[in-house]
Amino acid sequence: MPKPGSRADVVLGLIFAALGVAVFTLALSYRNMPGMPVGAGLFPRIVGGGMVVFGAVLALQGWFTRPALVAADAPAEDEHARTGTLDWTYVGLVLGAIVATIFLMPVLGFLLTSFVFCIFIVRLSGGSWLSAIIFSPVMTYLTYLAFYNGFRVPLPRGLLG
Amino acid sequence: MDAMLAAMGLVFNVETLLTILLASIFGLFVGALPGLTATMATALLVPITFYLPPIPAIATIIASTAMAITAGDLTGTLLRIPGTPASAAYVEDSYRMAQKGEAGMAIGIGIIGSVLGGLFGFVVLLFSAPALAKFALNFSSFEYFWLAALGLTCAALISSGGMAKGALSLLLGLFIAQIGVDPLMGTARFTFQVTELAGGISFIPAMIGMFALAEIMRTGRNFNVNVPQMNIRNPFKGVMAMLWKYRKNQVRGSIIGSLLGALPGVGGDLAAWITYSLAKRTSKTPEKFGTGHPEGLVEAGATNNAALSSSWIPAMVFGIPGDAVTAIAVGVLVMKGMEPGPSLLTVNPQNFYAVMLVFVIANILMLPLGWLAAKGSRWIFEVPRALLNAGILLFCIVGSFAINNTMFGVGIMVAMGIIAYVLERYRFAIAPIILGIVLGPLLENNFLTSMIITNGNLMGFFSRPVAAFLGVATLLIWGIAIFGALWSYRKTRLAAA
Amino acid sequence: MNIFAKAALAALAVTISAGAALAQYPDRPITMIVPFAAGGGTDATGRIIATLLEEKLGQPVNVENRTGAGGLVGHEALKAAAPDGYTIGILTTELSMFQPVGSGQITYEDFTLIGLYNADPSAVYVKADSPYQTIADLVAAVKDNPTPLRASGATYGGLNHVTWVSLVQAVGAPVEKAMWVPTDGASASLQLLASGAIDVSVSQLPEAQALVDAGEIRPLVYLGSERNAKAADVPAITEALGFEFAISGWRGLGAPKGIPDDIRDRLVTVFEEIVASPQFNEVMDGRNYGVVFEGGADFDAYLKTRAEAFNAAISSAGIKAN
Repeated sequence: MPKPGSRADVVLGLIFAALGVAVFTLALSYRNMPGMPVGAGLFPRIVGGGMVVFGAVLALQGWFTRPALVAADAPAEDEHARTGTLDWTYVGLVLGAIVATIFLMPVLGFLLTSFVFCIFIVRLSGGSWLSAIIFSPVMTYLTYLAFYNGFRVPLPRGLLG
Repeated sequence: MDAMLAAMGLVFNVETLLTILLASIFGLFVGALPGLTATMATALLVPITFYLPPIPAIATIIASTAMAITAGDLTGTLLRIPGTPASAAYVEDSYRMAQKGEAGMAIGIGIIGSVLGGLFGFVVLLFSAPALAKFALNFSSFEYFWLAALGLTCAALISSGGMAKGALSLLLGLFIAQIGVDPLMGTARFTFQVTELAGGISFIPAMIGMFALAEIMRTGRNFNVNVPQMNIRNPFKGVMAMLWKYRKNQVRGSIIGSLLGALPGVGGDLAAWITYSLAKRTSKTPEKFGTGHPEGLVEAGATNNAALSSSWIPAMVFGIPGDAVTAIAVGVLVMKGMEPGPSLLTVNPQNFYAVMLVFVIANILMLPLGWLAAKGSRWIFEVPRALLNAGILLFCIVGSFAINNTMFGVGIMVAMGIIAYVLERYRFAIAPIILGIVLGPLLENNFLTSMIITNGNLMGFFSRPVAAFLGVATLLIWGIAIFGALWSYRKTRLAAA
Repeated sequence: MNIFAKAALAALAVTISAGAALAQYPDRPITMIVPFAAGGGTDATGRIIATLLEEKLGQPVNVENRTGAGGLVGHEALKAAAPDGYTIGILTTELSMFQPVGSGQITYEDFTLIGLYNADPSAVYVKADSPYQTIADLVAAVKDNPTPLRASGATYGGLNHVTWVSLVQAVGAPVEKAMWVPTDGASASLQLLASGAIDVSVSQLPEAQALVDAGEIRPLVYLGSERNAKAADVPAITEALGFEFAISGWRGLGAPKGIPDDIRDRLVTVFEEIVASPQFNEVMDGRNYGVVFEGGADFDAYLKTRAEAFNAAISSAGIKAN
């Protein structure tokens, strides 16, 4: 048996239950088609209802096993070894770089954006300037070759188009 | 027998064999690049088949899909980016094996298990195609609904983290699948007037975000790739012994895969999940599943390719394509004057057998190509992690973009990555979310269609024999699981008190 | 240099560059938006057209599948693209229905129309052991009471649904009592029919052909004005029931509204050659798709007629999207 039991479970359970309520409420506005016994709103209502039930179950499980917090966390140590602690700076910058790419690529084009993105990530991940300068154009060009020329994926051309 | 000889003449010539080889290599590359699917590979090949004679034309489609789907296991094993929903079922195990230095073993099990499963599927196809197709034709929306429900039940209940978390993961996947314009009534749901959401959320960017991006977020700068790998000279060393050890799983996986694959629209995706959970249920060491244990990998890998072979049955015998790939293949068959249908077996049996032979050759070709790929993939563990992170992230972006050719897919990828990171941190399983997204439409469409047929009467779901059997089985599994959970909870409460 | 010389030079430059733009079109790859998924019939025809266009124009024509919302997403994407001739797209029957059904505001008037290349009437099927032997039997049952007849053929409000209600209406039965079982595609409906879960299926000929050959289902009537050469034993609706039936599926090529006239004319000319080419006809014939060409303004007129027919059928049946 897994050992649930943490404050996080209570919080996540409640978040899921809230999502369930939102899904259920939104689904009420989907009307049935004329002459149909059921409509597009039925299944979302079932799923929303399910989220409320299981979210509540999770929250209750977490609440009642809360005193056992210390004991429950002990066996999960290997899990934490794998998970590691979150490197906030790194994750934040990586996600930021991807979001920036989303907005910049249509303007600057794939080649330029991808080149800058690669240099940024290599440097951020602890690579040297030299490796970043050599790797980025090669990686960018090979990806372009494979996806654009090979598989006809219309990557944005931007400035260079 | 004459037909078989004629078929051999059609297949064993330089042109056809060369086409099969080239198509296999093409499939290998497409499958190994994240975001590119077997469907895309086939669609790209259609204009080429236009200039080929019938047998080589269909051979390109068959060989490239078989290879692309198997190659999806490569990226799953090495980078935790599963290539297909089916390989998401066992990606945890194959990825953890690679992290333990057993990448060659994991890939070997995937490849050799797939080849054996694929050949088993071929034998099934050879002897029972018409009968199996006839059986599959009796499946209506009621049977499909229960089958999808059974598959999702398996996924939710086997997942680590307990039943409530498994069910919530699954429900989240089902909810994500509902976003967009529903395919039955045309109602826009949860789109908030965003045109791009109207198209729905595709599972490719979701899968890339939830597995690959979440993994990079988790490991950060310490992404551990410099794993000393065993058996570098022969990556497949010891694979046969491992398959022999789990021969029961291999055989069972192949049988179930062949049967479920014959159902149009269900195919390998669902089958691999069902057999993976079956392997876990019947295993002596279920707790090792998901930590780099080969048992589930053997069974689900075999299922995957067995189902792939038999998914051609309904397409060839009745012209009912189960997925986009077989739909394209049916188109090519028709275009080349080999109309699918019962006449393909009676009037021109040499063509039917020739197609079968292409299967066998494509499957056997997987061994040397897969071996080379496994041997070559070793370098990935020697690339400096800074470069690898940049490469993976770039592939994540391009792969998510490629599915609909919009940046919106990349946004989806980021959002899903963050959700998956948070959920996984609190021991929610990610795989049921993916399965929910993939099977959600199948479950919902067949549920609604059935409700409309019975005019809202739920008892109608048990009025057909096969549907009743599947329905009772599904409900029993849920009943046992809920009862079991309550029972053990009561016991711990009593023990604590 | 005086001002006139400058002006003359500028005018010359503009003329040359304009002339060059036309002479060079296309000087870079063209994108073709297909509003349905890879693997479907629309995709297959789109890809053949792309291949042939590439040969004629000497530039790559890249197919982009922009799927979702029953084709609405792809049509909207084409409408929104830059009208420079470098984005073209396949238009389908659904374009005749978005507005009457209310699922979208987009119509054929939002596009520069290049050419119609395909038109296909549907057919009506029953299971092999069905009590209805001829279309007359089925019509008698529909007139009696259409509700117990569970008909299917794809999405609610889709072409086959509109075809069914239009047929029910045409034989004089109460259309509001017609029963439609929605599925996500014609194959799913045919599977339902073969498994015995429903009574009638409306589908296009090629999709159902293999099941007919296998003896699982039977065609009762072909909804065109003449018999189809590929299924010569199926009576056409005009001879069987004595009236014309206007609802049919169609496919064409279009571009965003307002592309330069010279580019449009070039595309219309090239496209007419493609539709007449043996390669194109071989593919269409192999798939049993009817080839019909209407170029430029004729295509506009064709779609105007469709818009009226679809509007009439859809509004009388009360089909509305949310």
